[in-house]
Amino acid sequence: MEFNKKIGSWKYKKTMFREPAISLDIQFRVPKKEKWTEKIAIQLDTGYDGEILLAYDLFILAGYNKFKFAKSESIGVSITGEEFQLDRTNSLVKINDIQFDVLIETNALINENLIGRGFINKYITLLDGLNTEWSIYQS
Amino acid sequence: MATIKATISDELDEIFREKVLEKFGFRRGAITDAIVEAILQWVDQEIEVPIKKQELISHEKFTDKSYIALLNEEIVVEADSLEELWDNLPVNTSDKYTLITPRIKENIGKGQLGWNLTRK
Repeated sequence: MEFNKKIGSWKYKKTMFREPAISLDIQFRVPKKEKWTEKIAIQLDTGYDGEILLAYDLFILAGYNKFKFAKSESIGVSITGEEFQLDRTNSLVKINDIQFDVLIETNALINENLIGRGFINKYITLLDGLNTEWSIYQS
Repeated sequence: MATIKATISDELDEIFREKVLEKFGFRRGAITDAIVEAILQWVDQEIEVPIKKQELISHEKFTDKSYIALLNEEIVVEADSLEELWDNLPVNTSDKYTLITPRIKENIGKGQLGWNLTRK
């Protein structure tokens, strides 16, 4: 496996807990005059199988509720087995000025911002815990 | 203020009250707050313009662009890339648009929501 095309690398972020988190500051392309949001901290959660899960409040603030896919059969299942129909949109995000095409999901009950397997599975992901750095490569 | 009366099964009533207690605690007005929240979610869901797969296909007859924004089922923005689409969407609008991109059919079905999903 070749690691020849590095897309980027990002330092883990300190948290209020013991270990740093694999977390990124992401800017979202929004339907507003300023085009991009401020940086928003998003944590990697391999238990989430989509790309970006955005807290409902932020989804509304970003204006994505005005520009989303038609309701579909996209259902989110929580760890306790509850099922929620998901609102979805397709937008752009910037991580350290590198732009990605992402599917963003939410539901009125979501209050977390997560980056999931749907995103990292598109790349070779290297979690360098010793240097607290996350890198992604294209093969 | 309006009053709505409805009859539901004992089982659903029990589940509902358990959830209300869990979320709002034992306080006056908790059930009303929960019903209002449920109605708001349902209304929000129902006022979406329902676009079925057949309708998506029919739009392909009118444009060869892959990125489309619809308003009241009319194409209002069409683009060749996601970037171009977002560049041409109206800003600070109060209208609700439906987006169609090549990725619309991805991630359909059931998906996991994370190891530690918390609810409001």
